[in-house]
Amino acid sequence: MNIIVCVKQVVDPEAPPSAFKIDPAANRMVLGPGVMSVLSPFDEYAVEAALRIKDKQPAKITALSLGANLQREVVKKPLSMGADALVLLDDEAFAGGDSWSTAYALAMAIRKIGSYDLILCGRQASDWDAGLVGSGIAEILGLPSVTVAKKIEVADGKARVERIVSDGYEVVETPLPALVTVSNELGQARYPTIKGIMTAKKIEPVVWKPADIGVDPAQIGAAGRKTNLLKLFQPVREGKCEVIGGQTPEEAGANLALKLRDAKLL
Amino acid sequence: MSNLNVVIIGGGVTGCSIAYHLAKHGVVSQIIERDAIASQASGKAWGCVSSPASILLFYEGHRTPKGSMRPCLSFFVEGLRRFPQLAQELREEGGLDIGYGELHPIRVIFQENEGKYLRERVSELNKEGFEASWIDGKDVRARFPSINPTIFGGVFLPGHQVESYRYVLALLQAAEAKGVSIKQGEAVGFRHQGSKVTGVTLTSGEVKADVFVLATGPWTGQGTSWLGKKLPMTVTREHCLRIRAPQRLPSYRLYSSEVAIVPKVDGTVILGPIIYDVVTGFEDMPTEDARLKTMEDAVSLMPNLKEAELIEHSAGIECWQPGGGLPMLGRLPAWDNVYLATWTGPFGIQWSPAVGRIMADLIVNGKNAEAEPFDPAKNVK
Repeated sequence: MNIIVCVKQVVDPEAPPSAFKIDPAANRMVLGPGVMSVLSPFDEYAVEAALRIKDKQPAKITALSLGANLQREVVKKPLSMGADALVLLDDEAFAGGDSWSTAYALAMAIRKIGSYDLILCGRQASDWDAGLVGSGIAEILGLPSVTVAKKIEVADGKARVERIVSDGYEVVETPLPALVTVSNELGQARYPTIKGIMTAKKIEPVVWKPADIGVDPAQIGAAGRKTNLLKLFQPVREGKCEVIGGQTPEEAGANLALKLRDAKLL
Repeated sequence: MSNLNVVIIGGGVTGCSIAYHLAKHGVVSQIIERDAIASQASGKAWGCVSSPASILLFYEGHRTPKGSMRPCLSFFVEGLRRFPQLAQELREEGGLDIGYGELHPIRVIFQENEGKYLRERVSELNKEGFEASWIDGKDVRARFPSINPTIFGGVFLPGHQVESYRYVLALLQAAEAKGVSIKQGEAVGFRHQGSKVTGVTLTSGEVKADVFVLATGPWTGQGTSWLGKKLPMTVTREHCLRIRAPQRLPSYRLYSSEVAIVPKVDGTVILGPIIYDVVTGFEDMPTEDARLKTMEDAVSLMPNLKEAELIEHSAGIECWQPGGGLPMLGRLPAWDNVYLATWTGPFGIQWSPAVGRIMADLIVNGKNAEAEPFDPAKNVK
């Protein structure tokens, strides 16, 4: 069983809002000092889903990532969790892409890897939250795609997937090869062990440039965008706080009720 | 209730302890914090409380000059004495369990010659009244069946621990219950009339007060520079790896010359390198080199930790007396109403009961004999 997991290096979503600034002229995000990069948390669930399959049957897990100047200690996390190999599309030409150009480059890399039964992605990346790359890869490769999975079981050339819907989950079955995007409802992703981190340190990733995967340079990264970012801005949230008091808790409660009635909220 | 209006800049362990102890004097202060409570080194510290003997044996003469830590040994004694009671007080007043527990350190030795020397030092310290005892390799192995078998012996010391972040939060919540408030804001300067500071300028406005306390760790130098004073300091980065061990570890803080293994009350374990990196500026990013070296050192000491899971790696920066290890506590020279509490190095948590108490007394009464050895006038120009 060959599983490919697509993972993305993102800016730490836990960084405080003050760490992010916008350069309005360039329509770009500018990071403050000390902001770390991490693996997109949804992608960690995709790695975990692959590892759970590998816990039950022989499988080779290959992690695949795309970007420019990818930090090895970040993108090696799937290896430290238990993946077997890492392929990086690491080149300036891959930078600045949109969902389409990213999906195209990843699909071409998957084609080059060649042997796969299951492709897993996080349901969306925690930076732009578009959630389109997974389905895009499936479209380009002509594969069935199941999104927002909470459980994946693989047997007899088929995947049985529980996928989240608004009021619960539905169970779908798909022939393999297929692409599945994974959601956090899968449950806690395992932490890497010390042994895993030390092993990952020794594994050299395979690095491919655009020419290695036979892509049309006009279709990848910023050049290949099919969408234009018109405006990037930080929403301004303003709140007013008024403390309603009283001599006793009862009086404070009554004052609050009167205030709410005046505001036509009661 | 006092009318003294105090502003404390910095919501780390030092600032929150000062606010808590001021509130005990009836002084209701306001804390100004740029990010969030204990968001820097205070919230990332190992949370260990050491004994004077461990400082005399393994700290001064190694990290600081021999004899240099004697003036502040009482701070360690006060930490050990007060934490059990503080844990109870803060549970009642702050509504939080600070993860307090006894945690005796065992400093292990691999070399026979070092072991012999230490055995003599331990007996000298015992004669001075300091608590420590030598244990043979056989006894160390009996306590830690999975330890590296080449261990020669170790020194058994008194010690406690708390959960650092919860402790700082509990100090703040207990202080808030007494009326202390916290304001989110970034200080960028002071306003003054003559030698008296009248207000601290924030990016969002100005806060006036009678007394100002700078408790901003490595950032304290920025504050003194706004008042024309240069504060010398060394800044180091302390790493903290939180792991889940394959089996529950015995309740001792095991450490070598390279790494500490600290089992916490919640069942997780902290791994920390003993040697800190000196940093320039405010570099507090966890580094891969430190992570790998700490893990390798921990596995070399306790081989079965190879199977442990790494939950988190954080790092915080701490400021020190250059070439020493003493704190700086007192009034900023040439200014009537600005106080400093800094240079706490890696001891912010364990000194905080003493530092909070002494600073509060100094601010309320104008003088405190215990603060005199650490007077900023000696070092701030």
